Amino acid sequence: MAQRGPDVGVITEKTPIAKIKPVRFLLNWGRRYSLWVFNFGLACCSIEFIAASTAKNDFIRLGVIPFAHGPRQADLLVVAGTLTDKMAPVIKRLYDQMPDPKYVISFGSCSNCGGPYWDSYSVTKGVDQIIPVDVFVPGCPPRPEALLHGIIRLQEKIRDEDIQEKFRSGTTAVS
Amino acid sequence: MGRPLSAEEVGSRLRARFGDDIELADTFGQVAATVTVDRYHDLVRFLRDEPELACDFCDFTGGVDLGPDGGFEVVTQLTSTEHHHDVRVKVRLPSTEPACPTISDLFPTCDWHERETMEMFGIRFEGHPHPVKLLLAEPFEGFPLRKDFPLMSREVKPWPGVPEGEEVEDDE
Amino acid sequence: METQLHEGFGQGLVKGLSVTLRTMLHRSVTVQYPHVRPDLPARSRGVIALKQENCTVCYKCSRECPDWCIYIDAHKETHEPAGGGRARSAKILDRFAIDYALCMYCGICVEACPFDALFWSREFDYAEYDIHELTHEKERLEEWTYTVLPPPPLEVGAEASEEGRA
Repeated sequence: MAQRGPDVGVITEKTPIAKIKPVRFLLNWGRRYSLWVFNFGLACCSIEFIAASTAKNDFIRLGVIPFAHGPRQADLLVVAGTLTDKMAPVIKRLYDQMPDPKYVISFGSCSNCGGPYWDSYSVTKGVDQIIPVDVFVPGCPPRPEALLHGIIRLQEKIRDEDIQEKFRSGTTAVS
Repeated sequence: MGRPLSAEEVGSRLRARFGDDIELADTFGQVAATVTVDRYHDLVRFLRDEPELACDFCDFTGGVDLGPDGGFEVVTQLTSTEHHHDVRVKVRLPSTEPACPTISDLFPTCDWHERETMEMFGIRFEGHPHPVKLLLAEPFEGFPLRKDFPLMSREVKPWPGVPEGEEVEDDE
Repeated sequence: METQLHEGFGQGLVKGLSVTLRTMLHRSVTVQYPHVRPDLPARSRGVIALKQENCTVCYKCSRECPDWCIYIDAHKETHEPAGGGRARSAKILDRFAIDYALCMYCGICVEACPFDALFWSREFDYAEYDIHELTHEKERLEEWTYTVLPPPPLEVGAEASEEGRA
């Protein structure tokens, strides 16, 4: 089960000002257009992720700032590639180090559910067994534009989000 | 500067030194020498130290599971960077409690290769300085590359290729 | 470097700013994705579409799939023809689902299908919030057929295709 990460910022589940609609709109707007991404590129999908950060399909124009220096400075974790059993505790640890509120995109078949290696002895069949995932991007590997589409869908999800609900539930409940 | 030896020349030198303890085969122009367990270390040392053979580069050490009747096999590929010829060394091991001397004192490369063979096949390398798992996660049980290791996902998930109610054809 | 000190103060600054100016005036190569869709080749492997009327429920695609991600359910129905004669049986497709979370887009199912019921389409943007929605049922697979392009024209010198003839 994922734990609560360190809280950063003034808004928590007890802050009443976050309930006011214009404030909520403003906070969601700020949060969804300034995602700092921690690239967890494990395998071939990471190449497509890097391609999405290059000039032709630029995800910085969607507000996703490339390559946080570490999990402690990141909002968004993009898991791109095959998660092996040996790597699983590592990704759990890095996810726990990310401050709330945080979002996860599972990029590619291997991180969705094992993908082509679904029958292997050393592969975790899906990163959502370890950490909660917000958006699943299908493909093997997905096009860089598919990642941009996944980011847009995540931004739509954040737009309709109630931040107090997110904090209250503790970013938990692995599906 | 080196002189590459043909398969027959390598084979004759090995035969002269080891007599009946080895069997020779020619695979695609290179010698494959199958040796008994007790002379494995000597053979690798001879291949490395003999000046005309001078196999100073160990390409890999791997394992083969030949099934319940065949036992295991440890395969090592050695190459001479001076003479540009290669030799493949094979050791046949029994299928219960397979054990083999280590060559990591002769070739430090083989340290990791033997660790991987150990965890994947369960072959014990005697004299290995650090026999712990290399690639598999720590609480892993079993030896994955053995032929009788089941892939659990394929056991648990029913094959969607047959209509319900029909028998699954067995290929065995 | 010593030469810069001799050339004069500020030369490095001018050189750097000229690079910036040149890059600024250069045409951008960025494809503005949500507003401009990329122009992909017709053979791109984006998603697999199912044409149900061609499917005879032979289960070949499901058997050949290396990921076991095609789920088919079917039943047989018999009906008597109006003009007499023995009862004919037909297989009716109840469920045809492709799990795109598992799919590795190898195309073995498309090649294995003897009746040309599966087609490649170049649509790639179907990300979901819930992994169970990545299993597309036959209704959604039929919708993808509207995005399938006709096959590209044959190369010069190729033999004429046998398809399309009665």
